[in-house]
Amino acid sequence: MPENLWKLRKMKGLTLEQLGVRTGIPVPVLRQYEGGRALRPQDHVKLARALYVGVDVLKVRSDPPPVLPRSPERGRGNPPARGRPANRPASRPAARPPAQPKPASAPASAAPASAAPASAALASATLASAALASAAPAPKEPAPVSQAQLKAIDALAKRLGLLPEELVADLGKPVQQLTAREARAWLREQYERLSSQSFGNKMPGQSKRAILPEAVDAFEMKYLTNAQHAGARLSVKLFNKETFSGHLIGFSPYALTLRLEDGRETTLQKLAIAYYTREAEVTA
Amino acid sequence: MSLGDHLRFLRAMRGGPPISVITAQLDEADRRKVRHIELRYRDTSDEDIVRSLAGCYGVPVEELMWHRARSRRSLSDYLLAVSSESRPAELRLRSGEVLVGNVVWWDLAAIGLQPADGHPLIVVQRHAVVDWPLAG
Repeated sequence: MPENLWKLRKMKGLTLEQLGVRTGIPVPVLRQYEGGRALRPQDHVKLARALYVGVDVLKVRSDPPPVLPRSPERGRGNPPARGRPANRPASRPAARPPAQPKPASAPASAAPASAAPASAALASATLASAALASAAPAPKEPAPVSQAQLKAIDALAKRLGLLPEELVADLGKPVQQLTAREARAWLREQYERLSSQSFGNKMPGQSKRAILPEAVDAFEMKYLTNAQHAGARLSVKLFNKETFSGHLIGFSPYALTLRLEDGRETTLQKLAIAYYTREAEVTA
Repeated sequence: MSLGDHLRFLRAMRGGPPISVITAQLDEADRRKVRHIELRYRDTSDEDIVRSLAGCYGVPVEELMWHRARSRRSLSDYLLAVSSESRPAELRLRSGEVLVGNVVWWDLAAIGLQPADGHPLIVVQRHAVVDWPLAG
């Protein structure tokens, strides 16, 4: 199933800046891509390589990322336009009513009749704007802890050997009173602690990944990322004993792309590769 | 090299047709099993399916059974054993080469091997490793 760009990026633990460095795509463009702009074909390939996924796994047009509940002053939207008050909902309806009493060419006798609905409209608009103004700053209730989180906390507490009262002491409040965010933070912290204790060969910052190395592709990806950033030359040996040597300019879980001595680019399928190594004299 | 990796290799050597083309003569249930063996590294204790596969690819049954005994898990066990005992690993590749070095890391697809002679780290593709001392 194709996946959204922002989701893949977060799964790989990359910031927009890091992805920008890896792909050479400017951060504002990446932000637009994550917001739903269609990927240019060449950027699609670059992003898939940088995220270590196949091209078909990355959606051409990402769905915009979900907006997390935040305090009103930290909303995701653009800052208010210059010269306009920050509280836009209140100012907009108030600006419209003056346009309503249009029939200026109406006979004088009709003026009082049309003025009455106009003033009524103005009053209702003012009321509406007041209602909006009073509704806007009300902070959203934080989401309560979910059933799945409760189950996970329960299982993790058992795994950690925590008694119910110890769990409450650790959480600072009864489990049912937690918010979803608090539960998430606690679970993340405990999983990180567990995984760092149980497996020494784990890469830092990969706490969401499975602990067994069989389940991650992170080590090879890290090696290739470093090699690409360092502009290292790789020597790649294939099954048929053929050797290719060149600068690594791209990679995916299934292939490496090298720029050879003569400037040609070649993509080698990993299925054909036996092993590869950095060329010592260049990396020194 | 595990049976799944070897089947993938055999398929690639035949020009990379879809699994369904290779296994066209098998029934639906067996085709699904083969798919799981190759794509999801499922082990099979069903020797009949291995025999059928040998027929599909035109290779001796013994060849597939040999690879079946060299599962990914078995390679991982070996890597874990040598790295925990700080011994160098000895990996024989399909090309016939034998690489020796200390295991620095391994993951889903590759093994980072540090040769003792000070050469840079060698990244060996797991599917390239056909044999190792504790295999079989």
